[in-house]
Amino acid sequence: MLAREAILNDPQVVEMLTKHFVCFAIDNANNSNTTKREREFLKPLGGTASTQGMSTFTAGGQLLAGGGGYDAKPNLKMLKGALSKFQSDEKFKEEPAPVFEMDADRVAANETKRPPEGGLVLYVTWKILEPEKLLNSKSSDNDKHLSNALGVDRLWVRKDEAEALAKGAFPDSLRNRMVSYLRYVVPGKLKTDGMKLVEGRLSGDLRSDKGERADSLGFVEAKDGKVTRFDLVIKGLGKNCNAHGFEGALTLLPKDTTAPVALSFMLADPREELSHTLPHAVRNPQYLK
Amino acid sequence: MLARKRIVSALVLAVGLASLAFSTASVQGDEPGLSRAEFDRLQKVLSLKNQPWAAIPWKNTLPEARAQAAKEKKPIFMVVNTGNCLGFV
Repeated sequence: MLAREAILNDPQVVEMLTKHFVCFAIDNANNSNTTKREREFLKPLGGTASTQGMSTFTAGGQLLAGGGGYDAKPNLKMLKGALSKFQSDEKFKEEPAPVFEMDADRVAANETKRPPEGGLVLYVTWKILEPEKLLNSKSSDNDKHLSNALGVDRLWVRKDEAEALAKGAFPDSLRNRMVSYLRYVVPGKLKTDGMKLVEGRLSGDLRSDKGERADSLGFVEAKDGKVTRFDLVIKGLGKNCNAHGFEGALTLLPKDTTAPVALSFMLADPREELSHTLPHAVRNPQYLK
Repeated sequence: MLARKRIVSALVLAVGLASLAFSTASVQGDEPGLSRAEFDRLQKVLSLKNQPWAAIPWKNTLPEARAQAAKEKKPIFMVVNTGNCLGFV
């Protein structure tokens, strides 16, 4: 989340990548979107970076430049250098188009690692509110980026769940999948989720066992049996933790303290590439149960 | 005289308790739930679409990225992370 906030949210980096590069991201820990053969191809191209890395290469597999870290400036320089090299060197221009033989693992991955047929994808986002209150004169640039970062995930909705939503019901299986995110807005043990869907309006009395409360409001709309809107926003409290992912900004909080945070679920357009990124919990074989 | 003092004390106590109850309600809100205005405000803050990185046209797999790069004669940019940088990291 830090690299995303510090580098990929930089306006000059965004412009450079949008205009001149084809971009993609790989998960080097869980290998969720690469096959063994693809990882072999990427090995000499920066594909083995441990915590975080960035690189540029040609479609045929020639490395142009490598970067990484959490500072936009050197990475912008890296991108400019790579682009200049790509555009000025004849060997890159004349590179033969790669021949694609569909790897059996890729065929299988394309079949299985995608949202359920007829289902929905929800974007799940989370953020610390009033991030400036977490900073002080000793805060580093990384702290500033982290405090402002948006936690992001996807949540899959099965076809039968989507159909139930369209009819005005809120299936328990979907509720259970969503409840796992409530820990990011309700510190302590969740005592009640109380989420209900009444006449297209989602609401709930969310409380921890210590009485801390999160407030919510949401809307579900459907047309011709299809869900056309699913928006839920929950505002609550986040507690200090040692995580480095979705809720990594909470590491900035002093021990045992809380800060106002908010969580949202929003219906994604399945035509958007970003909606195809796998949900974090999809590794769990019980995810869609 | 004594009765009058008791009435005044009771009134002061009642006003004090009412103020305390009001201030507590102001912090937590009387009823659970977000107002529509707060929902609208937070939805903007939490929207993925408002993130500059989300405007970049990302591809999801290496074969897709390579095919497009070859077609458009562009270099590929890859970000590697312990977790997908476009997702839960």
